[in-house]
Amino acid sequence: MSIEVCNINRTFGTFAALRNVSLKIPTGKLVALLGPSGSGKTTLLRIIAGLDFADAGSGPILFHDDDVSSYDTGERQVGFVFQHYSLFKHMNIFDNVAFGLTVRPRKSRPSKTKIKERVLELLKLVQLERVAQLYPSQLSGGQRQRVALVRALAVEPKILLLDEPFGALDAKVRKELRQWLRRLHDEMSVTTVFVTHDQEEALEVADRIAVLNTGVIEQEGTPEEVYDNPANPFVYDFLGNVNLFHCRVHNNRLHVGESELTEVSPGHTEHSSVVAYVRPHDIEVSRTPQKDAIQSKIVHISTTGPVAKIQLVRLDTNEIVEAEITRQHYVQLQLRSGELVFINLHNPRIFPQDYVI
Amino acid sequence: MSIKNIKYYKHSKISGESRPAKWTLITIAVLFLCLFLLLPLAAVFAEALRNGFRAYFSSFTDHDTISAIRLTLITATITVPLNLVFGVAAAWAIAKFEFRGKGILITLIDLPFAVSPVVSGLVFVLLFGLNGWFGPWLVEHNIKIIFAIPGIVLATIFVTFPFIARELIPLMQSQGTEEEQAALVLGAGGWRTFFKITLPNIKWGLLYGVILCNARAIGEFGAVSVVSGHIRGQTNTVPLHIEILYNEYNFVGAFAVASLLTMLAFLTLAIKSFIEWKSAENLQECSDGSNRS
Repeated sequence: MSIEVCNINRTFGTFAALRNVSLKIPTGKLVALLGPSGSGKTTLLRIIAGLDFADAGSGPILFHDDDVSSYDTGERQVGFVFQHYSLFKHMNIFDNVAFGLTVRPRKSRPSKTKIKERVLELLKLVQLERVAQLYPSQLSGGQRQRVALVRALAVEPKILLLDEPFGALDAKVRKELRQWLRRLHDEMSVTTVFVTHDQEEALEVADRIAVLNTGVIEQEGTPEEVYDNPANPFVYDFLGNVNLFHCRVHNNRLHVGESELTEVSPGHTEHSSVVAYVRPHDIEVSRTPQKDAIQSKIVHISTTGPVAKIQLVRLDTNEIVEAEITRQHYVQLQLRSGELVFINLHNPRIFPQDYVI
Repeated sequence: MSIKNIKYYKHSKISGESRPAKWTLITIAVLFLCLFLLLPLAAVFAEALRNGFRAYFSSFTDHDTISAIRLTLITATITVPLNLVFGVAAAWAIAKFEFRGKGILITLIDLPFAVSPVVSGLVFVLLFGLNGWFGPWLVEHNIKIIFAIPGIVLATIFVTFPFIARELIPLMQSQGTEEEQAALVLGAGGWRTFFKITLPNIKWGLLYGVILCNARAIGEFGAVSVVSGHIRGQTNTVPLHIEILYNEYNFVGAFAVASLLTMLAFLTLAIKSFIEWKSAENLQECSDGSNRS
């Protein structure tokens, strides 16, 4: 089932949590609402779920062409997974998962044996059939998260909404669970929206990403689109580490300090100041001076993890630059702290000088 | 440092005072406790049993005593369920919803704690008494409130109103609304969410409030005294009846009936401790759970 929200506004007192937000979520996709805290992503999710309501005058919320904006949350038939799981403390795991089915009106309620079958089947799916008789307090965080998920899935929702589903878990469990969520999504063919502030999580799992900031959707697209073609400095900065280079435009070419960037950038006025954004992995480090290289000094090298992270300081401006090179390349170069090297910039993204993140 | 050493320090070094000072303080505390708590308790039972068990039990066969006990039980039976509903409704509204005038509502709930019970009683006399606001109308329609059971019940409800709400508000506020929201998303209606989610989560706090409310409803003297009219065998509750017996120099009778209230107090304390122990256990379980990951 597709979701479409149109011109949603939501203000809390004087604080505008959402400002004229419109978003289309295609059927069967896994979509991430990504943004820093306070960006309005959870508010948007709760408005879709019917746990919060948009200001008067906002546009409709369409579930497959059906305007649900006046529906109660129970009538919208969505699955919702809360950030802190919100399992029913006084019920065992079985009853938690069965809740959505047992509270159905008599007409549409499955029989007791049917409910039991369905719950056990779901618990089996998340490998928790052994804990059916335990209480939420006896489970680990990861187990609780999975119970919360199957509790939401038990009612067979067409839409699954997750609020920071892995926020409270440690890094390793997080990673496992998000891959598991991806597989689950592919099997269940349910439209899924999840909120996260972790760009890695969004890039890895989602089909599409909507990046939110201060109540506005800054950009929406596939992970490749938003990562490779960020619409503005905020998106660029939020999706990964970044180096900033202040440049001048001269003869339709960019100049960083004494060096010239090879990229031509049409449409920029002569002598205007712009900022080039460059990812650390797009910075090439070499011993020998190449054309248009910037001379820098290595301050620190960190080699834990898959890449070598090199911190340099530019000799011309004393600005810090971060570069990432493969370990293999690092071993070849045999770089040392304190050494003078040359850096070249690749794939810079150019934004006007006055843009404030 | 070994455990032995810690024990040693705990008794002599960490607390700096000398041995005599320590024992003097402990003695004062124990004496105070005996004088103001244990001695009066003992006195109640000693006086009640002064003429032996036969006299003690015969006090309860007195017609007026039986009617006082019955009236007190009727009052409590009406008051506690009503305040249970009021208290839960008020706490539910205050803890789970945001609305204008919430502060005023909280203040109003506390009002019976703040005013003297005698004033609470007088308010009802001023409203429903013969010369009160609604007095003439009530007389016209032959409805008796003051100096009758309705007045006693009204005064008791007023005085015991805060007990359950006050107990539940902080508890429900700390629990938040996420579990209720989860139930609503899963398709449960409002009532079902209340009975299946909210109520089980507050059951110990609620029971605690009911116990305290019940104890006060049975023991209330001031407010009831003003509205009751002290008609023997008709509008005397147990506390009022005790006062009358005492004023008539029927000490054994007065203390015998008083011993009933005392035993009720013991029972209340016992149940209260049990509930505290039980809900602490619940709390422990919850915090244990959240520490795991």
